[in-house]
Amino acid sequence: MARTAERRFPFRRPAVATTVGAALTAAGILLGTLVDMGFLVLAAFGTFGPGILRELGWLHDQDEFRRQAAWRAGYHAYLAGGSAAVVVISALKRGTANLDGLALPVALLLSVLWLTWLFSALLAYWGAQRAASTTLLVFGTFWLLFSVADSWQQPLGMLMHSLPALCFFALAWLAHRLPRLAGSLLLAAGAAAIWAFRLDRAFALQDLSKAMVLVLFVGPLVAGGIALLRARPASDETA
Amino acid sequence: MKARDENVVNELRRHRLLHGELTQQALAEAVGVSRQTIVSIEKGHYNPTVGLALRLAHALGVAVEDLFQLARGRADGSHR
Repeated sequence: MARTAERRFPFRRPAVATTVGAALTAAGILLGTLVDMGFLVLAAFGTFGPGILRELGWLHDQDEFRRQAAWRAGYHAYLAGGSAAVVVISALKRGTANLDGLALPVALLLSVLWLTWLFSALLAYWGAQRAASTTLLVFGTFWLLFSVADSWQQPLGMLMHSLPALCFFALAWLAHRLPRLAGSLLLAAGAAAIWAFRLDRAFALQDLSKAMVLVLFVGPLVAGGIALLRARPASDETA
Repeated sequence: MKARDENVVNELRRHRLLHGELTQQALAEAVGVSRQTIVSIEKGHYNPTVGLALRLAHALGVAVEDLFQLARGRADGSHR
């Protein structure tokens, strides 16, 4: 009976520090966008605060598996963020980057760091299939919400704009059943997005806003695709 | 977290089920970790520290070597 319940309700309440951190991050981003950019400091506390407290030994809310997953995700973020930083600095020094200020390159590097950390941690906790399918569900939900908000007065237009969300949901379903196929389709979707949004300019950092789209949109798709292609059979992945 | 460690044979799941069909949650609570940690150990995604391995063995009433063994042909110290 208990085992059935475990499988039926796999969700566990997140730790208090994680919940407080997420709330601070969301509040910081919201207030920073709507009121004053100084509020972004709240997001920094929310994102990095719990980890700093754990490293100082003042917060003991993780067991050894979670600590090791967090350390490993941090190493992955260091590798990805360090590589991205070198590319950005090189482009800035050579003058090839179109730069209006420091905010965009810094946001780009933070996005690389944070997304790499998050996806690596999700991979460790859930395995490739669940991490990829959750990422796709989040993508699909955001796309659907933006489509509805953007064109709710035109039902046909809203339906057309919502179609990619359905593709994300279908890929999320496929990730559990046929991970290799889903992984291949995700890589193809990443390549299609680069072509459709003309993101090739992002690779040379000629347009940093496009580099941001590349990191935020194509990055998770490609990371999910690679993870699924490397995944073991489904029987190994399910908890 | 990382590729499965092919050098270690893991019998945790078998011994947990032999131990009165103990659930992952119950075992996790007995040794003071999250259920996700037990899941990851059973799937071979994570090799526990010596301390946790000893606690698991104690909770299940077996020796650590009954839960974790070097794979055949790996006991000579060869690495992949």
